[in-house]
Amino acid sequence: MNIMLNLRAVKGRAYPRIIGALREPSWVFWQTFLPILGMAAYVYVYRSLDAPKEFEGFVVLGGVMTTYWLNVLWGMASQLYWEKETANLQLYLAAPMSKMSILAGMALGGMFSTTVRGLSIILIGVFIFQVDFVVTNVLLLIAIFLVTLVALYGMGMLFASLFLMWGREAWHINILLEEPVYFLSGYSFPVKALGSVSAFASMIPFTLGLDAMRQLTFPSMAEWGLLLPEVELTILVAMGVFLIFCARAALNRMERLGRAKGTLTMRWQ
Amino acid sequence: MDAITCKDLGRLFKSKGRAVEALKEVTISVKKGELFGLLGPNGAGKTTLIKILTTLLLPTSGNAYVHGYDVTKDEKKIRPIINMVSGGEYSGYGLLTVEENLWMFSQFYGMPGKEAHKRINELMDRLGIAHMAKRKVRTLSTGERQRVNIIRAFMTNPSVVFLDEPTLGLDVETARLIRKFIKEWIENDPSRTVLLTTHYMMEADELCDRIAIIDEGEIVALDTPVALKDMVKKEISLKIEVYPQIKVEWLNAVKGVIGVKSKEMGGNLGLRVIVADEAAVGDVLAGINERGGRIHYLYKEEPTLEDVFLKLTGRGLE
Amino acid sequence: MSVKYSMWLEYQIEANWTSPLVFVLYNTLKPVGGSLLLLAMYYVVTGGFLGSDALYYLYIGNAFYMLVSQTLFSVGWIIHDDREHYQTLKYVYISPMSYFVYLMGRSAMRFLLSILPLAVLIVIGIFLGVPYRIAPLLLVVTFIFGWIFIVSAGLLLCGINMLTARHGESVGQAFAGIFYLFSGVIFPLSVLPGWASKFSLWLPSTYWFSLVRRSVLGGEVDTIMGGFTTSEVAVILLAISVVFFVISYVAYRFADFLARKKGILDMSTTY
Repeated sequence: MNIMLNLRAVKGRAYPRIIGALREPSWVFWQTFLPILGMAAYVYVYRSLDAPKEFEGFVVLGGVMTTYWLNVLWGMASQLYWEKETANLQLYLAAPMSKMSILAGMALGGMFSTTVRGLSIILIGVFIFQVDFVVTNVLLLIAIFLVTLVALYGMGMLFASLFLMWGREAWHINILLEEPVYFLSGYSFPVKALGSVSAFASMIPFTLGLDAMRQLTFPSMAEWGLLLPEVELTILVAMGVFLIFCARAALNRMERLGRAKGTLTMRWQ
Repeated sequence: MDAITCKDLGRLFKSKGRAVEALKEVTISVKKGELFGLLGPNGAGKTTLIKILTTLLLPTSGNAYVHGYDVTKDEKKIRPIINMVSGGEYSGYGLLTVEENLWMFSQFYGMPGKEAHKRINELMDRLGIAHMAKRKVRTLSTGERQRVNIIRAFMTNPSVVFLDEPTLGLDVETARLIRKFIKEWIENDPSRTVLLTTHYMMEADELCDRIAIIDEGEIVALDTPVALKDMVKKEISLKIEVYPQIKVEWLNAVKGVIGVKSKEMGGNLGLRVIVADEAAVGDVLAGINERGGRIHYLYKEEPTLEDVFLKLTGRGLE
Repeated sequence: MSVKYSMWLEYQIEANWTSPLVFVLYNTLKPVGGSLLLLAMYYVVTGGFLGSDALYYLYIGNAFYMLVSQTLFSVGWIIHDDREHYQTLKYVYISPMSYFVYLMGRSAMRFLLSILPLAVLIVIGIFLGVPYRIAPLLLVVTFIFGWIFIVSAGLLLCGINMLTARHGESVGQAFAGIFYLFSGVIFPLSVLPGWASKFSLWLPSTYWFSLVRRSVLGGEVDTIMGGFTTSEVAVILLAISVVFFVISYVAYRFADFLARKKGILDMSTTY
């Protein structure tokens, strides 16, 4: 594997994302301000039910991680479908770089706007909703956050491979995955409440990462934690490595299938 | 080792019970340094062949090699040495400038930044769009956009370039510029190879060292443009304008002259002379000269590749 | 006639991408996932699922919100899709059919297609013990008013999208978030800060969701909206919807004019 080539490819593909965000600042309204309204609605649901204050914090933290999940779904996984429709995909595939470099570039580039959104959510949580984050272990929190992102983006790359084969079906699967994943990952509630279903839900990196981060920022709600944060970190590391390997294999396999069936360059599938 | 080799290459598309054989036992070889043309009407299989050779599509039968590498298995070895341009291409990102789009694509080939910028600037100068470097791609006209696409393909200095109808829909000036560029590019380095598909016979005739004519997925002829046109035996038609007016009855007696038509053209004499072969042309011109006539205008109609295609398939190219 | 064809087109794009079985499954799983999230939130606080006005309020509000979010998700996508994906916007635009009518047709079909997931949730609500007291005539009126206000919101969104880049597929959903937060969809308006609940009373969606509760649950449990009679809610909704429609239409026309003036009607903004 040519490392310099792939690093340059990552840089090359990240560039349009960053420049696009700077040149068309209307994303701040569409992808930062407006989505926060949806998250705020869940905070008010808890207030209407007289829930403990920490539950509002769960929603805020869930909102932060959800922005990365949405970036995975829409900024990366389904992006290959969009690239196919705009005739860029064939140029990417005919180039010598790895497909994972392209996806990594998209993910890194998209992280700029995603992180702005995440930070906005935290600021609103703290200053508007008066959520009190009590961080018990900063290093562990950062480690879990970063490893969760790696695992999540690995999962995104796996989904992206589907788009090499399918067209609109994969796009609709993307739409379908939003809410069920919110539910299974405990986006706005502690996943332990799902009982035995939480074991299945733990297969999503988002679930364990969010659960661990909640335990480290709301220690008073530790009884709602699924597993110890350290254990969840270990599982996330294994998951991340596994997902990235699977993504690589799936991308190669799906590309080959796409080449055999002729769907790589087929538009409006 | 040839630049491109196809042996009994076939591609079958199946969809909802229907099968379309886009390519049927295509066998061609393109030497290094050759500008090879693939001429055929819409739907002949030209783009399908390009997709297979650029590793975007697998064949369903036969083999194909680029620089000795198998297109089905060695895509990682092929991709660093090829590039491609399609006609009517809308690749890139509308929000980026011309320079930024080109730089981005250069990174996909691992070009160091400085080298990439130097190459991009050189090519933008060559193709007359240096002043558009900072313009957003979405503001470009079709011709300007295609020049950018050409730069995108050539800036990586590929060994083999696949051009799929590169002048489709372009104005005369832009098309001419691009053809000139392609010709000069290949002449500058004998190791470079171009495979060009087109349904413009004039373009194939002008540019290509050899041409394969493809129809309904099959190669129906493969040779140099001259040899292909020689396949078509045709009478030679001469249009001549002579001054001052002379008598023309003697022309019917010239050996090889099949027919003569004349008309007055504002004091001059317009002649249309049909001859059976080249030898008669000299006799006609000499006879005009002996009788005091001067040639104001002479035009000889040549057989075209369209005539070749028509003879081979019974249909026109367009 | 034009409306018929644009409705047909929307159906081809939104419904004709898979087998009927998968389509039904898709339209079941998606809304169920969204509702399960709220039910889980309710459960972790109260420890149960049954017998509470708060639960029914939340459930029915969210179910009918599917109509709003799904319609706006698709409508919010029409301009960007036509402009940059299919590249047909300019061809439809210059055709004799009004582009406005084209948008109306597509949003009408999207609205109709969104009734399927709503129906699924209504049925599931039976198993949750939601005490349905359906007033059919009022429900029909509610749907009609709903179409007016959702389509108006969609029109406003389309106008904005004519002038902005394609940032992502979720702009429609994000836009719907305004209604989600400020319309008493899943929590009573009294929970909002004072200025916000005052703002809510200017949105047609607030009255629409109140009509939904009255037509499905037989009454209004929100203390603020409970101060209006059903007739008052209907009249206010009609009046505000008409005003909202006019504002949206004017905004759409202005955006259309600006897009043509700036030459960005068929721009490409992918990144």
